[in-house]
Formats: sequence, structure tokens, C-alpha cells
Amino acid sequence: MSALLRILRTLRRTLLQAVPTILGIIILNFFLLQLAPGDAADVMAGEAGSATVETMQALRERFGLDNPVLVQLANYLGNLAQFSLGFSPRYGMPVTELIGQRLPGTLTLMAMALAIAILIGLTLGSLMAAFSGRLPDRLLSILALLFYSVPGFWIGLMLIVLFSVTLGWLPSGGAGTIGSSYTGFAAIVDKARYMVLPATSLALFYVAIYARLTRAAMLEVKNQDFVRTAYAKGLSPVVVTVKHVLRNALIPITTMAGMHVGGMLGGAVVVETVYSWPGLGRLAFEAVMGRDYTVLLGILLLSSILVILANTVVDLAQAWLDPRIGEQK
Amino acid sequence: MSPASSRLLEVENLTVRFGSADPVRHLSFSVDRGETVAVVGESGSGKSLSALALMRLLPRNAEVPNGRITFEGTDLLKLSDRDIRKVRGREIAMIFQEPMTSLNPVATIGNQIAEVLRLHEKLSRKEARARAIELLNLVKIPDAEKRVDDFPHQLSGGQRQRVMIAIAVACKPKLLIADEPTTALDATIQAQILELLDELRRKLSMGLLLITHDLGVVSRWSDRVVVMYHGDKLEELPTSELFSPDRHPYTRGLAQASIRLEDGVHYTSRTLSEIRVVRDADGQNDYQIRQPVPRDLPPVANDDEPILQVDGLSVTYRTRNRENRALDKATLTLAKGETLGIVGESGSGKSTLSKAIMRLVNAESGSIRFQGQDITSLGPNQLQPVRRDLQMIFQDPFGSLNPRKSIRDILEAPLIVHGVRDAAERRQRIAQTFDHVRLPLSAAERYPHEFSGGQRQRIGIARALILKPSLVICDEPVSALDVSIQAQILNLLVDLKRDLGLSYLFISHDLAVVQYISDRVIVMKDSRIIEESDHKTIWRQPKTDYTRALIAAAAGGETRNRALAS
Repeated sequence: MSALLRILRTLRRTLLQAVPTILGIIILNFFLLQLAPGDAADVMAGEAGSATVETMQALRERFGLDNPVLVQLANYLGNLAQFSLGFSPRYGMPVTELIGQRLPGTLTLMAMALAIAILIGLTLGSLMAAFSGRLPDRLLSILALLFYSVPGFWIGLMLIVLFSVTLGWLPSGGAGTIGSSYTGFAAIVDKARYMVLPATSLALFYVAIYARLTRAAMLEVKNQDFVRTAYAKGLSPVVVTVKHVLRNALIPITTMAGMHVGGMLGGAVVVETVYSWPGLGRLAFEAVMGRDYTVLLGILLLSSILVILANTVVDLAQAWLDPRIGEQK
Repeated sequence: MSPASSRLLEVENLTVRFGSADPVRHLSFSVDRGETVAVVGESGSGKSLSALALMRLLPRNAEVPNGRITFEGTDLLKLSDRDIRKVRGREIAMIFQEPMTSLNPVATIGNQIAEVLRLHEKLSRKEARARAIELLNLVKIPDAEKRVDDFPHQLSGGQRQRVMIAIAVACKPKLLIADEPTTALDATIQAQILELLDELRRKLSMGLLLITHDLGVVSRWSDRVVVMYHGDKLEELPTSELFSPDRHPYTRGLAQASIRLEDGVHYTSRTLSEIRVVRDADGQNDYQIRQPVPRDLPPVANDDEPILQVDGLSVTYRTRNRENRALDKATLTLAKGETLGIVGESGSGKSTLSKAIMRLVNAESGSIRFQGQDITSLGPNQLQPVRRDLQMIFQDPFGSLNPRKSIRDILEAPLIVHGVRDAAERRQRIAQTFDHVRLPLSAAERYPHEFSGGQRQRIGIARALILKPSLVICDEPVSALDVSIQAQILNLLVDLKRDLGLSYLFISHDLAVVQYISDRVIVMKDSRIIEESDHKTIWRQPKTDYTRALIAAAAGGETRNRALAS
């Protein structure tokens, strides 16, 4: 069977499974948020400092917060059916627009962090496997343990201290030089300079995970018979490692990477706060504090779609990597 | 051709060392051009390590403290890592025992063949692919143009081994090392693969080093034999003399312990010889052949009600989009005290049959009557007392014992499950069972990894016997064992049958073993029972072509050289 057919079959199955999953997530999230005390009107009234019962009533009426819960859910689902995520009472703008502003920032940050994590993780893991039980393996293991156990915000702060404050190489926060008029390549370099530190602090935890995982997977694959076959062909150790061992070891690693997309979104809240990066994580945080459930629901919906998408990509990658997956049994 | 230039490989005084142990000691032998030399030995003899040492593929913690491996005038042990890689795959190639795992699962077979061509012969991608298709034709894979893009899991075990051979002969090596190339394959496939190897040896005038435990394979396919035991070479001899009486006692023991189909040995007529290796006072091994005295067996009682009656039993495995009829209308009976042999190749449904009788899978239709009771659809609670009388011995002595439990725990578990609450009684039952399977009582406190394969199989038998069953299903009980151990276990099974009045359902792919132990034989193919007969008739007058083919594949193995010798 061709690789393409295998991949298409996997894609169809995944999409069919995604629809009920997303619907379930929306409804579950909706009810979960109803459990939290207070609503947007309470917070806005609290912030304004002076609110009468009438003004609060008016606020609630305006945003439909006075309707019974089930009616609110029906309204929300009705909005969704028209591809609208609703209107944010707090920011005074449609949620779709609000998220649209923040999404690219977070996505690039996550993609960069994931890329760094996989790249460095694979390299370190391969090195650890190649020198297993010897000094380089021990030293890298300690390093990985360090990355794994130190909290992300602390790493973020320390990176700022080192690279921004002491060395002055990289900016300490923000998403681009304010008022700059860079174009083309210069704009990309400017953007990248702002992204290096947040992406690295987000990535280091995952570097540790991928390094350990790669090491274990490669050591397991190394002992398999087909690796001995590869050596018996006269291939050099580097070729055997890259062409035969690594490709087989990648299969468990892609599974983990897909699962981490959701986790990274959570980690983004902290990193975006430390580096004042205008992303979804911070928006979510602010939405929670302001009881702005429409925004929060929108973000949750979007992130669940993101996770499902990431898993689809992983499924496809695995169908491509491993011919035994996606085969008609 | 002068004798000097006909010499391809000369191994002198080779020792392989792991820490303080030397699993291969002072091994010397040679292979001439175009010659087949067999290295024969049981597990732990060091035969596979010697083969790996030739390719310099030993594990990293092994070293070669002395010895010389001269291949075409160069000492392979003195080559740099770079230079030995030019020898591997091009001058010396190797195929391995496990065709299922010896190929990379994520690369197409075409690419795996092409890889070696592109490395050593610097072919372009296109040329290599064309050559790969030629090679697949050479090893007789049908539809080579289409199969070249297949992945290993789409091929059967025999086909995978053919692909391995294609990789090995791709660069026309001068020496091919085949390490147990057919051990994991069915008998008919086994014969085909060995025939292919022999044909390629002649076509490409390669030397062939055949590493095996199987004397049948050795006697048919090799010119000379090197016999190894525990890292020592015991003797080297022309294959034609393998079965002659003035050989080294160990060789003789091996020859006598291995059962050959055409000898027509049966358990009622004689016991199998067992090899005993005893270390004498000066640390020398003393090899003894012992043939236990046969004892009389009570005749099979035919008038009684059969202990097991299976009628039209069918089993279908269902996955979401596929049905697989694994057992199709099987009917059989087993009398008390009888041994019924079930022969078949992999996928023939013999294991499904045993699982269905054990009620480990549910029958789709048909009935199973055991000791007069219909057990086809008993619930778990009603099944419990039945299971006491119906026990099983498994093939893999390594995988079937829980490594974290002591032998006592393993044997006590079934007793506790079946309500033997008195600890003293349990101890006594264990002691008694140990006595039956001839294990020392001290074994009870030890763990499975401390035992050899043969001892573990005894533990597996003890576990089956401790509940005093009446019917024991033996699923390939000796397939994973060495020849000498196999003889011991078979003798033990015969003794137990007599002493405890057991009936056996004996499943095996090995016709010679089934012939030895069975009173009646059933042949299975494609989920069906295709032939049933008593143990004499089935070998002499097989009714189906398939049975004839099986017998030919199994018996052919031993006839050629003996015919030549006589």
C-alpha cells in the first residue's frame, strides 16, 4: 500500500473522531466555568467601585448573563454555528477578533519552543545513548535532570538576568522593537531576537523529557536484531544510528510531542507573563481574573482544536514513519 | 588449484572473553572456497559468538585476547574499524536466525537490499533498485517488481529470510555465514531456504559457514562438521562420518538423542538416549550417554468413555473489519491414557484448537466434552473445578514463568486458587511434584532466571502437574530446547504419563517428535483437520499430499549424506 493512501486513511479516521470530541469539550467547559463564583458583571462592578443593583442588572441583561444556564449554552452554541465566538463584555470587542490578535504570537512561540525542544532533545538523547553509561551520558543526564526540575519562570528570570541585564545581548521582554520600521529579513531577525529567550525557557523542560525519551528509545532499538543486520552490511556507526536506529526511535517521541502541545499552552501563561509576550496564555489568565467566560470559552475551544490538530499531525507523522500504522487490518 | 589458494578462511586459536569468562576457547577451523562447513552445538556452546567474532560484530564488552582469523591472507582481527567495514557485507556476509526481527520494520525491503549495493558497489539509486529486483528474483520472491516496495511486515517469515539472503549475497561475498537460518521456520520452508542457500553457494562459488543445532540440517547440507560444547571444539569430521560409531562420545550422544523421522522410533519401543556431561577430578569433561531402561506401559483403554471429545469446533477471530476463521469444524476424540499428536505449520490452527479446548477462547459453534461433561459454554465458576483436571505446558520456558516469583510461589498459586488451604499439605504436594519432574527440593526457594532452559521446562511441567490433572495439553513443549534436553523432557513426559495416568494432547511442528510420542496423529492445515491416523499408518501411508510434503521435507533432511555414505 502506498504511503499516501495510508496517510489519507489515518486522516479520515482522525477527523471523524474529532467532531464529537470538540462538541463534548465545549459543553463540558461551559458547565465547568458556571461552577466558578461570580461573573463578568461582578468584576466590572467591583473595578468601577460604584455600582447599583440596577446597573448590574443592566450589564447582565446586555451580555445575556441573566438568562438560565441552558439558554446561555444554547445561545453560545447558536453563535458557534455561525462561526462566532461571541462578544467579550470586558474588552468590548468580538472574541474572534481578540483571539485573532493574540494567536499568532503564541503559535510562533510554541512552534519555536517545540522545535528547539525536539532538536536539542534528540541531539542530547542520541549523544547520551551513544555514550551510555560513560561520562558524557552521566553529565548530560544531570543537565537533563536540572532542566526537568527547575521551574520555568525561574529559568526565564535567570535567562533575562544573564542575557539581557548582564550581557545585554537580547531584549528582556515584548514581541518586537516598538516604533521600529524594519521590513523583510531585518523584521524577521528583530522578531527572532525577542523570541529566543521566551522560547528557550519554555523549551528547556521539554528538552529534558525528549532527551531522556530519545536515550531510552534508542538504547532499546539498538539491541534489536535489525541493527545487527545493518552493522553486518558494513555500514558505519553514524549511518546505522541515523538511518536505522533514530527513525525507529522517533515513533514514541512523536507521540509525546503531540501530547505536549496542550501542556505547552499551559506553560505559555507563565513564560508570556515573565517576558510580557502578548499571547493567548496571558489573555486566558486575564480572562479568568475578569470572569470573562466568553473569552475563556473561546480560548479553551481554540486550544482544544489546537491539541486535536497536533494529535492529527502526530498520527500522520506516525503513519509516515511506521508502515505498520494505518494499514487495513 | 593448489591447496594453499583454495583456503578461504582460517581460524586459529580464537578465544572470546567476557570479563572473566571465556565462552569460546582456542577454536581453530577452516573453510575452503565453495565449501560448506557446519558448526554444530547446543545453546551455550559458543557457536554464534564465534560467528560474530569472524565479522568483528561481538558486543562491546567482549574481547578477543588471542587468536587469528585469516581471510584471504589478511588477519581480520588486525584490520582497522574502517577496513573491516569494507569486508562486512562485501567479502563476508551474514544471515541470522530471526527473520521476523532481522529486517528494519520501517524501511522497504527494496531499500534495505539497495543500501548494501550503494555502500559497497557505489551504485546509483536507480541501478541499485534494478539490482534489488534482480536479487529478489534470484531468491525466488514472486512478483519481485511489485514486492520490492513492500515493508517487512507484509512478508511471511520464509520470505523475510529470503530477503535477508538477498541482502547477504547482493555483493557476491566469498563467505556466507548463516547463523541458524531456518530454526524459526516451518519444516517445508526450512527445506526450501536451505536448498536456496546451497544453490546460491554453487552459483556464486561462496564458502558457506552454517551454524546450527540441528543434526538433520548438518547431515544434509554440509561437507564438514565442527562440533562444539561449552566453548570447546570437541572434534572436526567429514559429514559422512557424523553417524558412525567411533565418534567423540558427545557427537554420538547428540546423534542418538536427536530423533529422526525415518528411524521410526516410538516411545513404546525404546527410550531416548540422554547425554550427561560430568566434570571429573582434573577438570576434564566426561561425556556419558545414558539410555534409560524402558518400562512397560499399560495399553490405552479403548472401551472406556473418551476423556475428551471435540465435535465440529469452530473459532473465529473478529476485528473491526475482518473475520478470521482460525479453527474450522474440528472433530477429535482422545481416550484415557492416550497421546494425541497434532502436527501443523504456523497458522494451521493448532494453537487455537488447544486454546479453545482450554476454554481460553470461546467457540463459535461445536462442542467440547471433557470427562463426560459438556464444557463448551460453562461460566467461570463452573469452569474452575474443570480446570484442575485440564492443564497446559507452554512452549517458551523463559516467558511462561513470572520472573519476580520464586518457584515455590509459582507452584503454590494454583494450589491456593483451587482451595488447598493447609500450608503443610501444599509443601508436601510441591515436594511430591518436584520428585516427579526430578528437580531438587532446594529449587523451590530460587527464581526462574537461576535455571537453565531445560530446568525451567521441568518447572513448567511441575506447575501443570501439581493439580493432578488428567489431561495435559503440551503446546510445543520441546521446541525451544536443545536436542539433549529435548530427549530428557520427552523421556520425562513418557514416565509421567505412565506414573500418573495422564493423557496428552501434544502439539508440535516437529514431525519426528510427534512420531516418537504419539499414539495417534492429527494433521492440521489452514484451520482444518485434514488427516487423522494411528502413529504407524500416518508415516507409512499418508492420505493427503500435504502430509506427504511435510514428511518429505522433514525426512529428506537426513537421507542424502547417509545414502552417500553407504
